[in-house]
Amino acid sequence: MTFVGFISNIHAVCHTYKWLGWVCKAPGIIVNLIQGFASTVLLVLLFMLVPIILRILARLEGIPQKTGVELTLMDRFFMFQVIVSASCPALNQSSYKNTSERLSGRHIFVWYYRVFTWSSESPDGSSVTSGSEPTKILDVLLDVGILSLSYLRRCLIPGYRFIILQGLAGTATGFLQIGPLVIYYVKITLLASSPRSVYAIKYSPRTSEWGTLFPRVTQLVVIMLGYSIISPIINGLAFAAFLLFYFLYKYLFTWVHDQPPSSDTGGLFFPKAIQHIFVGLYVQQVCLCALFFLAENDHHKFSALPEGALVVILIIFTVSFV
Amino acid sequence: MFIFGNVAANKQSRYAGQLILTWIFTSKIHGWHPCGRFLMYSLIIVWIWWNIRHEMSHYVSVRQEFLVSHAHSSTAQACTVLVTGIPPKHLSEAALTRLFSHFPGGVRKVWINRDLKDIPDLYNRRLKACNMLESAGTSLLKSAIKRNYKKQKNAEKTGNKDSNSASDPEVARGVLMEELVPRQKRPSHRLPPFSWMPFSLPLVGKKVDTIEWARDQVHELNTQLEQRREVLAHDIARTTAAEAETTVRTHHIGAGKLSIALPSVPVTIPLVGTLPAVDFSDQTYPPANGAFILFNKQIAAHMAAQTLSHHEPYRMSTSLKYIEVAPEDVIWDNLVMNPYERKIWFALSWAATIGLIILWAIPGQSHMIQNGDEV
Repeated sequence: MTFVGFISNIHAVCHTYKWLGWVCKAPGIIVNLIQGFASTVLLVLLFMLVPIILRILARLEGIPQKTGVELTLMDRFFMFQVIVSASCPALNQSSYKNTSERLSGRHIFVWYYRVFTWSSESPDGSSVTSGSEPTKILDVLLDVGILSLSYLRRCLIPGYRFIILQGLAGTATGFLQIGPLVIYYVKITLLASSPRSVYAIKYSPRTSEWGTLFPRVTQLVVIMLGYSIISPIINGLAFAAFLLFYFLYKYLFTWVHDQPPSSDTGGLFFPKAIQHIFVGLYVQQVCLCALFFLAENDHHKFSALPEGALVVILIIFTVSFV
Repeated sequence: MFIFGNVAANKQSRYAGQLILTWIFTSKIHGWHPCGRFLMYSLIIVWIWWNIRHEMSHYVSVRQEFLVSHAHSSTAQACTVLVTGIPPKHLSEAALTRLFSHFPGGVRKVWINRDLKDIPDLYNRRLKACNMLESAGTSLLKSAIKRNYKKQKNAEKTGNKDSNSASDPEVARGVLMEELVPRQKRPSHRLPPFSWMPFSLPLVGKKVDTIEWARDQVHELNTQLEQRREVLAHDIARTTAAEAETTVRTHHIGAGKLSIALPSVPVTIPLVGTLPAVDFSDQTYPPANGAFILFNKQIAAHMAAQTLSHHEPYRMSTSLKYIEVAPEDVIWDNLVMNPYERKIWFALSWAATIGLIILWAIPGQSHMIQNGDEV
C-alpha cells in the first residue's frame, strides 16, 4: 500500500530522494503513466487479491465444509472491508508533498481542530492549543478525541463518493456482466478440448460467492449507518444505491446465478450479515456519543453531557439487543 | 461537503457547541434543545432495531419452512451429520450406529472417513488420464475430418479414386487409420523426464502417443484401484462386524496430518497429560477422525448435531458436528485434521488474516477514488 502511495506521488518524491532523480529527468509522459495508470492498476490488483488470499487462509483454518469456509471468509472479508475503508487514505498522501501543499491538504483537518478547540492561532497545523480552563489531562484527552473525530470527519467525503460509486458503477457493471463474457470467450477458445468441457463452459450456470458478496453490501450498510446521523445527506444517496442494488440482485438471482443444493446452507449467511450491521450501529453511536460529550457551550462548559450519557445507555441497549 | 456550508464564518467561535449539535441533523434550526435531538435519534435507533428484529423473525420462519419442505428434507444432505473428533473407541461403523441409534428414526448408514493413503492419488491420475483420452480423441477426430476433407477435394481435382484392397478387416482398419491420420500426426505428449516430476518439459522426456498411453494408464489404474478397494472393503467389514465392538483400543490420538507414524506407546504431552496413541495397525486403511452418519429422519440429524455426545473436550463436541453435508461440499484434506491441530491452524489463519488487514490498511495507501482526484 505504501508502495502504491509512493508510486502515485513519484513526481513529487523524485525531488526529495537522490536515487530517484532519474525519474524526474525521464520524459513527462512516462512519469505520468507510472503515476496515474500503474498505481491505479496496482491498487486494483492488490484489492482483487484480497478475497483470494483470504479464502486460502479461511481454508487453512481446517473447516471440513466449503460452505463453512465461505462463512468464515465472510467474517474476514467484512473485517477487511470495514477497517480498510475506515482508514483514512488521503491524509497521508500529503506527507510527500511540500509544505504549502501539505497545508492545503490538511486544511479541513486544522479547521476542525480549531472549531473544536476554539484555537485563536493561525491554522498552520503545528501550534494548536486548546482553550484555557480545562486541566492538562482533560486537555490531552480532548485532543485525542478531537484528533480521532476529525480523522473520521475527513473520511466523510470518501463515504459519500463510495456510496455513489457503488450505487452507480457497481450496479452498472453488475448488469453489464462484461467480465464473465470475456472469460467465456477465453475459456471457449483455450479450454474447449472435448464435448464435455464445451458443455461445462456453455451450460453450467454461475454460482454466487456469498463469502465476498455479502460483505460488499454490508460494508455499504455500515458506512450508511455510520454517517446517517452526523451527515444525513447520505441517507438519500444510500436509498438510491440500495434501490439499484435491489434491482441488480433480483435480476442476477433470477436469471444468472444458480444455487446448487450441495452448497446450500439454508440461509446461514443472512444472520451473519445482520450481525455485521451492528458494527455500523456501534460506529454511529460511539461517534454520536463522542460528539455529545465534546460539545461545549459559550462558557467553555460541556453542554450535552446528559445526552451523551443517554447515548451510552442506548449503546448498552444495542449491545443487549444482539 | 453539504455540512460545511451551514457554518457561518462569524459564528464559528460563538456557536461551536451548538454547531456540533447542528451537524447531528444538519438542521438549520438553532432553537432545538439537545434533548429533542436525542429523542429523535432514539426514535431512529428504535426503528432500526425494529427492522432488524422484523427481518430476523422473517428469516427464521423462512429458514424453517425451507428446511422442512419436502423437496429439501427428503434429500440425503438434509439427513446427514458429519461428526469429527471421534474417539477411537467409537471409530467403527458398529459403535457409531449403536451410539446414535437412539435418535428418532435411527441410523440408516455410517461412513467412516479413512486414511486412504494412495487411493485418492490413483483416482486423480485415472481421472486425468480419462480427460486426456477424451481431449486426444476429440482432436484426433478433428484432424481426421480436416485431412479427409482436403483429400476429397484433391481427389475431385485430380479425378483419382483410391481403392482399399485389404481383405482382413483388422488390417483394413489399420490402413484406414494410417490413411486418415498418419502416426506422426496423432496427438502425442511428453512424459516427465523423471518420475517424481509433477509436470513434463518440452523437448525432454519420452514422447508417447496420447491415446494409447491414456488407455494403458486407465487400464492399469483400474486394476490397481480395484485391488485397493478390495482391501478397503475388508477393513470396513472388519470394523462393521460385531467383533470390533468388543475390541478395546486403548491407545489413542486422532489420526491426522501430523501423525505420520503412530507410536504404540502412550505419549506424554506436558500439561495435557497422557494421551495414548491408538493402534490401528490391524487395518490397512485406518479410520481417521470423522464419520458421516445418515439418519432416517431429518429431525434425528439435527438432534444428533446439537446434543452432547461425549464428556471429553473436542470429542464429537457440538462445534465439531456439521449438518447439511453433501459430498461435493466436503474438503477432504481438512477432514483428517484432529481437533488440537485445528486449534493451531485456526490461530495461524486468523493471525495471518489480521496481519493482512493491517498491511492493507497501513497509512500510505492511496484510495483509488481519492487518487483520481489528486491526479
